[in-house]
Amino acid sequence: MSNSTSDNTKSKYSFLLKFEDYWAIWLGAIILIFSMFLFFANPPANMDKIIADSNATMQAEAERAPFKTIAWIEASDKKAGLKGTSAPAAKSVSNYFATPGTWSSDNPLKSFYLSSSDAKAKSEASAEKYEKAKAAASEAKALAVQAEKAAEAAGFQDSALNQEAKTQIAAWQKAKADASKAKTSAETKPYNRVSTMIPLMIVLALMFGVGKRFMGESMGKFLMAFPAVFIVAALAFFLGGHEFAKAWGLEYVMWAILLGFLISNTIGTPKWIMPAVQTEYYIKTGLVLLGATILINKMMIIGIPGVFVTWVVTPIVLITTFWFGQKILKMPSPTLNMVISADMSVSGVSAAISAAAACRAKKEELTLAVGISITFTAIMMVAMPLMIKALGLNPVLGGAWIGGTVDSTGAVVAAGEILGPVARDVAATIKMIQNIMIGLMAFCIAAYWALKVDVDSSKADLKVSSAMREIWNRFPKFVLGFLGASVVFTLIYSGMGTDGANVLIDNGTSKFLGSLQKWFFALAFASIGLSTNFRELAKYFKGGKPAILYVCGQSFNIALTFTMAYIMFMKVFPGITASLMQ
Amino acid sequence: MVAIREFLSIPGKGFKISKSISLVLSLVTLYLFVSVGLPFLSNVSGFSKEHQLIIDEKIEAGAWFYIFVEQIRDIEPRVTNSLKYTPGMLKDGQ
Repeated sequence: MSNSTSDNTKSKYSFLLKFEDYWAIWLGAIILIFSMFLFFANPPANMDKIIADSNATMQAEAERAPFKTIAWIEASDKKAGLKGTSAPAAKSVSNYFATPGTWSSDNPLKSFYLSSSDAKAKSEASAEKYEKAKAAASEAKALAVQAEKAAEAAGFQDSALNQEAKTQIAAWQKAKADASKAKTSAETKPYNRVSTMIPLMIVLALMFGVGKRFMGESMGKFLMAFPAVFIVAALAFFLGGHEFAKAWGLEYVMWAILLGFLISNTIGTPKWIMPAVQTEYYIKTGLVLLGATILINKMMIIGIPGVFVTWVVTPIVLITTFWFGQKILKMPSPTLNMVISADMSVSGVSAAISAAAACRAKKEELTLAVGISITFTAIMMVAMPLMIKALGLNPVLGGAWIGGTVDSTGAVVAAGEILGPVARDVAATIKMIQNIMIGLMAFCIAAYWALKVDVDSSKADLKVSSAMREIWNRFPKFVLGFLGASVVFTLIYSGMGTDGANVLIDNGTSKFLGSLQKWFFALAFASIGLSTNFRELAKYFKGGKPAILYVCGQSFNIALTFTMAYIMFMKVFPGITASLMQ
Repeated sequence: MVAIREFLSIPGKGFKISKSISLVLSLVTLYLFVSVGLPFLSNVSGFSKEHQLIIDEKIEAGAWFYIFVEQIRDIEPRVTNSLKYTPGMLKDGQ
């Protein structure tokens, strides 16, 4: 009797080990638990005291002076210096997740390997520059101290002296940043990425291979094939690591697709590689990990204006663009329409991946959406800040406009950097808040598809309970893992408080998980390329409708984001704008 | 072994060889596009000044999610501190 009950229970729950969606959740959960142990058990020494002291100093200085004093900035820097990733255990593990690095045309090998003698030569060549930069920073600090003392002697009532102090403090900060960059070059260390990539490849192959075994496929064939996909992914990182590829915003995603594409459309992807060409398996696992970095707490970081520019404008643009695609452009594929709409309105590639997985779009549709987004982003990233400069807009408004419209986060930071530090900080923060939307967006898309799009008309007259079961069957289960990770980490973040969480989550688990996720997504996009036929892809672009949809949606996005940012930052909340300008 | 044999097998009339050559040529073209073409395009498009700034600041412009952008780790606390401890505004209770 008990044996039979046990067998029943076993067979009842055996589906939890037989499907890809559940394996994505299990693998994601194991990695998340490991990362929590690694970082939460090893906080930096005196973390709480340093945070409390720094906050007390900033509070006191903010009450004392009408500008950010030297003590204020040093307290802020001291707090920012606390990083979970600096713990030795975390450093050693993270080392194995490193991707091929940045290189320039004169030395491609630098992406994978730097010898001790080369590192030493680079350090020695930079040493003099560093010494000069250090001396310049000390000199700038002395001037800043002098100017601040003069302003203080006048009780901070003399606006000319206050302005002079602000100018000197800004010059000191710039000199300090230059010295810090010079220090990095002067302390160049040798590395060998190949020696860390091989163990990583073995671990990932075993991890995904075990899942495949439970799903009823051959683990041996998967293990044989995996290195080939891994090599394509590594080469994609290599191509995306060129300094100009980075500057153009052409990251590994595009190169992974292109490299796979070249193989599949020339010699054809060899059959023995196909067992490891598992786009959805890698994407879903990567998305469960991504869920742990979707922290709802960050939504209010810039106050109500940030929420309006992102969480109000973005859904309006997404829904309107989707409607436009369906009703006006009459896009032949609703999934392609949704992926492009999400990609353009929310946050580029991250939204495209989440939306494609949630509505089960075809890999060709995801490829097309990502390609369009990368192309337009490369242009918008430079054109938008130049236009904002020409218009002479307020940097906070310009930054918010860029943050709400340019697709990828890296491109937003780059565009903001072209405008200046205030615009960069605002743009990046707005984009980050928008990034957080992808969790809710994926859930809504999955629910909408299960309830409205993937409906079987023959089952329209089912009872409520049967209909609910139908919806559950169609719902992509990994989305629950994605949302679950987000909820758990949001609660942990709240429990730790912003400052503690910044050290152990933002500069701990998130950074750690980010390195691993890059590999998962590179494997996914390499798989897409390896399994895509050029003729198939061309079919989806027929008539240019995807590009027209993107351009129309983006134009609407640009207009609406500007209007909302202007109303919020310039009219309704000028106080927040003034604080950000400090 | 089967896989390796399959990969290395050369079917009749040398048809596979031309495909292999086209793959090699494509890969070489891709490498040249990255190492020579992109810097050239940067100049031609008039974006070289902006691109050099992005390179100097070590910004990964293609990074597609906030956790992949190193600069965000400094920007976020800076914005939070600026709004929480705004100088000159606390006295007025703002």
